[in-house]
Order: sequence, then structure tokens, then C-alpha cells
Amino acid sequence: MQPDEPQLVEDSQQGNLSAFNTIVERYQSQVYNVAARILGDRFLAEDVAQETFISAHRAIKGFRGGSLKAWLLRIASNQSYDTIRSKKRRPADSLEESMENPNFSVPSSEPGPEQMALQSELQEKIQQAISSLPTDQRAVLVFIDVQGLSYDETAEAVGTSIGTVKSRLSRARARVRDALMEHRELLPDQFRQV
Amino acid sequence: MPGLFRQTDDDRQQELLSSYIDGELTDDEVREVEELLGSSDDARQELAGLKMSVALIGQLPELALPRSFKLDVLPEQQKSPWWSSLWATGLVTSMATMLLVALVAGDMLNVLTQTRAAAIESVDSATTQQAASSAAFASAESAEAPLAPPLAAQAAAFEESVDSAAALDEPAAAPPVAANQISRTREAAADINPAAASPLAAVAGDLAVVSTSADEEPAKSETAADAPSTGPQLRTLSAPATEGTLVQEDDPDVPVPAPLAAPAGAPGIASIAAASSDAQAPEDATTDVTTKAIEESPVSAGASVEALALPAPAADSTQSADDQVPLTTGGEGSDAGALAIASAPALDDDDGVGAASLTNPNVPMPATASIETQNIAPTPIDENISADEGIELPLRQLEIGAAIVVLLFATGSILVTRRRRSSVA
Repeated sequence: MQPDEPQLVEDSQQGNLSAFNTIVERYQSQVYNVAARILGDRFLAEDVAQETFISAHRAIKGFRGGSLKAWLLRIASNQSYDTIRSKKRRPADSLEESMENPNFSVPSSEPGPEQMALQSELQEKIQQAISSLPTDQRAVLVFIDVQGLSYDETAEAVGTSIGTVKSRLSRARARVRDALMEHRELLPDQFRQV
Repeated sequence: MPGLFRQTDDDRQQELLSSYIDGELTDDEVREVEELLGSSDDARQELAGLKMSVALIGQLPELALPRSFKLDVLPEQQKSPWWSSLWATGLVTSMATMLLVALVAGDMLNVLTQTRAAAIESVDSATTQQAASSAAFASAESAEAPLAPPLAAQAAAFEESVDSAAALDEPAAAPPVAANQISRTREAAADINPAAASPLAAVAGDLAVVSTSADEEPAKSETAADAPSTGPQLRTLSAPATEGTLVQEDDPDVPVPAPLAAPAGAPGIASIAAASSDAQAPEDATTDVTTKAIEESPVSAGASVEALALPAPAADSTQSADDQVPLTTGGEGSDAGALAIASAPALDDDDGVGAASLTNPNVPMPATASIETQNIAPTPIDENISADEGIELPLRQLEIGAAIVVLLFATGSILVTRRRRSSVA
């Protein structure tokens, strides 16, 4: 937690919208990326991110300290789960279709169109592998390997113990590895021999 | 089972290797992993694959924000109803649960008892039924008593008519077959319904006198039957006839008993009335008085039905009322002997028994029969009721109400908790 965060939280709890928006500004990128990686859809992630901060503002008075980042990411992951469940009930827009959206991958800065294409395709495959994971494993993998959270922060964000985090993380990594091994041609040279 | 353990070991090994990548192992675990890596190619390959996953996932680019998510205006605070508040629903659920537990415990320990009012109400209803049946029986008995004198008077009048007929050498009225029938029905009633037979005994006894005297002159019955009916008219009782009066039988050779039909719901009992004719004034007066006395007798319909709804002696149930031999009267000029039994309105045949039950003893009596023999057992009072123990409460009602409240608010608490958990960290 950053030094000024306790004050920002207190001011937000007093109803100071400016203080809360400072918090939003600080964490909105992480919230959006977590939602996008969990959902595999940038458009849905936009709605989830907005809902996350609205819910956070309503519940800020109930924040009792700890990692503000973990608290916000937990709201984001819960909102993402709700969206996944609602999409399953109404499969009009398939999540798989959104994952194949070329807008999901960011163009690489490296030269060469072929390289760019391969990289883009690899990122798509990685995202597909992440999206194929169970939601509990998916969140842990995104928090730790995508967002760089620690085991403690991840345990706080998902509301479980560190042992559970370790277990889910190891399984998620193994499944992504198995999925990527089916597309060795896309892997970098150093990983093709694994 | 060995496979299961092997799977668990593989999972543990995988977990150790994954945590080893992130440096999240204790010193002992690090030594364990390093020993494993030094001795197992599979472990090393596994570690390599996990490292690849971590590296590739970590290389995923950070997505650019499509827009700012700052809040421009404060989102409207949704006013949730008080019952959606988690603490409110939890509080109510807890209170209702405690109340339910207290009620059940009190009931089991006899500290609380079902209120007497509810129990006594059921007993009273049963008692009322029994009292009603007893009253009906008593009224039936009292109704029969007034009948006896009028019947006795009729019997006496009949004797006089017989004597007068004999003196005038005129065909006497047909023998009082109805009286015979009454005696026989009395016997049949005694077999079937001893209690019902007793009130009729007084009536039958009197008529038996008439019967006895009539038996002495059987010839007169035949001749009387043949003679045109100028005297008092008799019509056979027939249910469900609205007027069950004994009619003079045209064929005396077939002495079919005339049942004493007394339809249910009748306002009056089978009253003995004399049909008007050119009878002598004294006999008419006697008859009329007798008729009035009988008709005015306050006999309840129910009792009358039960007292007189006796099956006739074994007879062909297909026989019509016309085949029934009526009670005889005196001959012409002997109106005093005219006997007619007028019964109440038609028997209600809802139970499908109807007239058949009155003519065919093989058909079971309607369920409404023999009120005086009904023995309505009172609803037993709850054994737990005691005036001396327990706090009286509408216990059952409270228990049911508390259980419903617990169920409703427990469900509400679960729903509120789920909603809160999904929207807030």
C-alpha cells in the first residue's frame, strides 16, 4: 500500500469523490487488464472495470485496511465471474469468438511482419489457454503471472489460503504448458525443445 | 489406491517445482526440490515446462485502457429495504430460531402445553353431536308415547266397528293386516335394531290387540276387501309417497305387509288418520280426534324415521305399493274403524336406498338410521392437557409460525449474503 493510500481511503469514506478518483486512476489499468485476461474479451472487460469502481465506491466504507490493490482486484475478479456466468446462461456472444478478436493482441514493437504475426498468434494461443482454465485457477494465474502479485496478495484477493493459491497456480501453469506444447511451431526457439 | 497416492505425489512435486520458480519455498523444501532435480530427469523436464509457461504468460502485453474509469458523479445510493440488510435478516432469523427451539423444548418437557380452548373445542363438538342424538332419541320416545293412546283409541274404535259390523251383518272391514304387519315389523326391528324397536313396541302392542281381534274374523276381511270401499279409506304406506296412507287393497289374497314408511326429514311421524266417509258421527269424531292428536304429536322427523323405518317382513322388493294389503277398517258405516297411516313426505333417497330399504330387509338401512343407537365417541382430549401443569399457549400454531419465519428469513439471509459477496470484495 502506498503511503498516501490510508488517507485517500479515509477521505473516500468521508465522501470525497476526488480522493476516490485518485484511487481509480492509480489502479484502473490493473483492474482492466485483470478483467480482460480473465474474460478474454476487452469489451466486456471495459464494463466490468466500470462496475468494479462503482461497487468499490459503494463499499469503500466497509474497507477495514489491508491491501487496497488486492481489495479492488477481488471486486474485479468477482465481477468477471458474474459476467462469465451470465454469458454462459446467454451464449449469444461466445467468449471464444471474442478471444479470437485480433484486437486482443497488442502489436509487437519488433520489426518483421512475420514475426509480428507469430507473436500475435502466440499471444492469442496463450490467452486461449488461460481462458480454458477453471475460473479459480484462472484468477490465481492472472494475479501472479500476469499482474505480478505476491502469493499473500493473491490469497487476500481471492479469499483463500496460501496453500490453496500454490496448488491452483501449479495446476494452472501445467495446463497452459500442455496447451502450448500443442503449438510448438509458435513457441520461441528456446522453448521448442521442452 | 496406489494410483491415488502416486497422483498426490506428482501433484505435490509439481506444486513444489512451481513454488520453487517463485521462491516461495522454505529452506527444507528447497533442499528437497534440489535433490529431486539432481536425481530425476522427469522433474527437470517438468520444471522446464513450468518455467516456459511462466515466461510466456509474463510476456503478455499490458492492454491499453480504452478510457478512464473515474467517476464523474457519485453513483446513486440504492436504498435497500430494511429486510435486505444482512444484519436485519440475520437477527430475525436468530430470534425466530430461538423461539422455535424454546417452543419445541417446552413442548417436549411439558413446560408448555397446548391451550385447552383448542382441545376443548373438539371435545365440545363431539359432545354436542352426542347430545343431539340423545335429544333426538328422547324426543322420539316422547313422540311415541302420545301415539300410543291414539292408537289404543283406534284399536278400541276398530273393535267397536267390528262389533257393529257383526251386529249389522255387514261385511266387516278387512282384518287389520297393518296391525299384523306392525307386530311383525316390531319383531323384525327387534332383530335389527333393538333400541328402535322399543319405542314401536308401545304402538305395536296396542295394534296387536286389534290384530288379535281381527284374526278371529278372517272371513270378514275377505268380504270387506271385496266390498266397495265406502267406509273409511285406507291407503297403504309406501315410501317415498308423500302421503303414506294405507289404502284398501283390492286383492286381499295377497297379504303383503304394508311397511310403516316414514321418510326422513318428515315433519311428522306416521300419524294415524282416518279418511272421511259417511261414517257415523261418533266414530268420525273419534277418528278425527285421534287423527288430530296424532298429527299434533311433537315428534321429530329424525326420531320418527328411525322409529318407524323398519324393514317389512321378507317380501318381494319388486312388489308395488298397490300390492300391499292395507289395514282394515270397519265396513260401511263404520268409519271409526278407518285407519290410515299417513306418513311424512317422501323419503330422501339420496343414499340410494329409499323405498327398497323399507320393503326389503336385505337392503341395508341408510346410514342415518338408528340415531338412538349411535354412540358418537367424543374426541379424546390431548393427553398432554392438564389444568395443573404447563403454560398454556396455542402451541402448535406458534411452532408452525416460528418455523415459517425461520425458513423465510434464513433463505433471505442466504440470498443477501450471496449478492453482497458477488458485488463487494
